Amino acid sequence: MATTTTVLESMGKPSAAIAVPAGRVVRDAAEFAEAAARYRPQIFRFLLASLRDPDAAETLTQDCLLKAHRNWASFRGDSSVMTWLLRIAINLQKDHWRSRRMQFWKQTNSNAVDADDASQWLPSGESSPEQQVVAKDQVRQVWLTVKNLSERQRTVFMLRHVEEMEIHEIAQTVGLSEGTVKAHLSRAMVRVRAELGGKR
Amino acid sequence: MNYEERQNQEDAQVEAALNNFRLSIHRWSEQEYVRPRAIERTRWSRFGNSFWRTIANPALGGTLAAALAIASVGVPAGLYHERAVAAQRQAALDLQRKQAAELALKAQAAAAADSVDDAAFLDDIDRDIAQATPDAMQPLASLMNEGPGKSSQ
Repeated sequence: MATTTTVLESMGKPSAAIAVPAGRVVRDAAEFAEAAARYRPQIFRFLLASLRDPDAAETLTQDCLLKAHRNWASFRGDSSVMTWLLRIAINLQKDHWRSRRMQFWKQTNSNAVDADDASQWLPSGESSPEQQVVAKDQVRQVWLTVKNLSERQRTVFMLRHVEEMEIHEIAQTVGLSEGTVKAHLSRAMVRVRAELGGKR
Repeated sequence: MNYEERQNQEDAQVEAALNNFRLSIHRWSEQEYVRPRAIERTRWSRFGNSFWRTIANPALGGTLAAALAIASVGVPAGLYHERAVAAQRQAALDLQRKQAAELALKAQAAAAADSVDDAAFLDDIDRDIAQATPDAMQPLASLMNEGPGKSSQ
């Protein structure tokens, strides 16, 4: 689909790009720098939540932005920049898992954080110590459930409940139909509820 | 507590857990995002740095210096010894070849001498056969053997 929507327009800013009649949009480096600066924390957060490894998340975030920079000229703007960047990040994450599986015999220095450690970053609210303990336990249980989900279910779950994306945005990002996304999400939620002692 | 109330309570519990989960990830991500992180080095640069760091260690440096000194003396001595042994082997080999050549010459000469004797023997036989007279010529041969004095008689 031909479009003249530019990156900055999709970010709610006036466009500085030149619209080409064929539907291609010529984008400059300044636009990419702005988009990268804006979405980098979100990409890092998604990768951190998916991998539980800060160093790997940082490396893959850099790889994601590098790949995006190389393909910046070919980005047609059919989806939002964030969706496009997350799609690249998801593909890199898949490659990362695949390479880890392939290198299982190697002694890798993985900095992956355990579910118990990952549950310690609770928001410092005004709740009582008892509530903090309960909340920490709940978060730990959610982490354990997420850890045991399939790769696709985990991705969909993270996009929905961490990045708070809508179903159609998730479908665009992971390249699935909305129905399939809902099915994955539903299965993931059943397991979370079961882990939390809710309805089964 | 009826079913609906229990359901609502469970939903609220799950909702709260997911909310805490999201907030904890956001907080963790914010902390990790701003944390200073060393630039990931390549394998070769890691090797280079660790190499020079190791070399800079005084104890290891002394050990390496001693090893270098031993090697600087030991390696030439070893090479000299190796060359001497190789020269001895070569000399022994040359001597062996020379002896073999002499033996071969002697054998050749003996064979040549044997072949000369055989030839002389065969010549004698040929000569004897040539002097033998057929039966039909025997009377004339007997006349010849009696000599010129007798024939004149």
